[in-house]
Amino acid sequence: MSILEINNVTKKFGKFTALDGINLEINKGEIYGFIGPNGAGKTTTIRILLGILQATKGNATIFNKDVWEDSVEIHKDIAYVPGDVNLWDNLTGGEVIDLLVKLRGGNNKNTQEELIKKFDLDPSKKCRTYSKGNRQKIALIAALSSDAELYILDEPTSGLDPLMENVFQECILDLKKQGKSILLSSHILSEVEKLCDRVSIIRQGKIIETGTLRDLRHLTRTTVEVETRKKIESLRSMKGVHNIKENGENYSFQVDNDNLGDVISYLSKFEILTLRSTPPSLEELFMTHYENKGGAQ
Amino acid sequence: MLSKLFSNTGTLTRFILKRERISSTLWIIGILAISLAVAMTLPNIFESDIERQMMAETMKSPAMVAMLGPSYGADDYTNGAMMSNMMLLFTAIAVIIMNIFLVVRHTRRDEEEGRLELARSLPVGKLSNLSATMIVAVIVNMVLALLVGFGLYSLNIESMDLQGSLLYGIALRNMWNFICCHYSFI
Repeated sequence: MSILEINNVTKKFGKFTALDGINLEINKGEIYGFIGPNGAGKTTTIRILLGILQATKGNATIFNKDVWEDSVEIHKDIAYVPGDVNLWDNLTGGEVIDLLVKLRGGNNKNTQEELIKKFDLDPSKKCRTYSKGNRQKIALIAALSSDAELYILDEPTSGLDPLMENVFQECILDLKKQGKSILLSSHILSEVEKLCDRVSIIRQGKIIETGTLRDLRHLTRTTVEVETRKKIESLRSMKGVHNIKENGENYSFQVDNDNLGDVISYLSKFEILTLRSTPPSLEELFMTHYENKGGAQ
Repeated sequence: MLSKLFSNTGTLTRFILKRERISSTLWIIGILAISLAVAMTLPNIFESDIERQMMAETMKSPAMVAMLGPSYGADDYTNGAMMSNMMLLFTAIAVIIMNIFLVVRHTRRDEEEGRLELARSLPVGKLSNLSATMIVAVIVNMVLALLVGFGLYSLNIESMDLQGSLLYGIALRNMWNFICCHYSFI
């Protein structure tokens, strides 16, 4: 069952096209990764989903309601964390959390206090004294303590230290267990890799790849490190082999996944001593996508 | 449909009042103090009718009219007439500045800094923040008008009766209307 749908959404700012026919669908209970370089349109997409910007063309729905028309209804069941949290300087962290919770209408004092402890935040300090990470924590606590169905997180861990990042990841996996859905826009690829079920890569306002991490990996190269007894001949002429690095009897290179079988059977002629193949990390995926598509344009 | 645009205005109004508890209070105290101080010193500066009448002639000069507007009550230039002639414009400017700051603080600046986004991601209507700001501004201006009005009256200066004093206060409050008009065009 899909709870969020974006159909062919285009957003133009004057002549500039920020989003160009975006399609996206999030199912219930799913953590959806949304990655792309700066200025690709991630935040614009999220603002449209929040009903703050109106799409030029196309439509988007959350819980089968239109994001622009029914934003107030929808917002009762979603929680949002922006990537760059700015707070009201002359209020304390606790006061801001109270306000955000009050605006939603829920009251989860227990979860809230638990989260404050977990994130190690001092809510009695004025917001102007908080560092970026601490401001981020406030938005996170307000969002995570709410009983929402869909969580929209726009680079939520920017500014958090690794310890807090772990706490955050725990909380997210907890939410997933409870059957909540999450849209996670992030730059931290290891985080996306760890948490997300499906991923979309957006670039220059277009979604260039969508699927599970597994699917995406098929599109790219595997890194192979091999040591053989005999010297490998004419490896360079093999189809689909790239970036060969030679170090005595050790070779490391990348193989297009379609040619992996051929390459391995070819290698076996040279009496393999050790063989290690690593699937591409999301980071490599990301890079290949940008380099390839970037070069084409 | 309409209620959707304004949902949670009440909560936001209370929130803005809370944020305004210091700055608006200071503004009100400042404007009130200066108004009362000038009103109190006027009888000491101009001690007789003749001195006041001389001032009235000065106020009729084109230079003064250009600065403060046409003088009024010049035939019988009492302390009250003098006060409203000289001080109304300058106090009004202060009130206008207060209002511009107040409105900008809670609308454009909040939007610019991304705070409004945080609020708008909750069940808050599209016009809630704007209307909450307007409500707070009306309250602040009304308090200012009443304090200045009754404050001037309480000085017990002969030519400043209750009616005149309140009129002076309300005239200041009406500066708010201009600001409202101004903003509705933006």
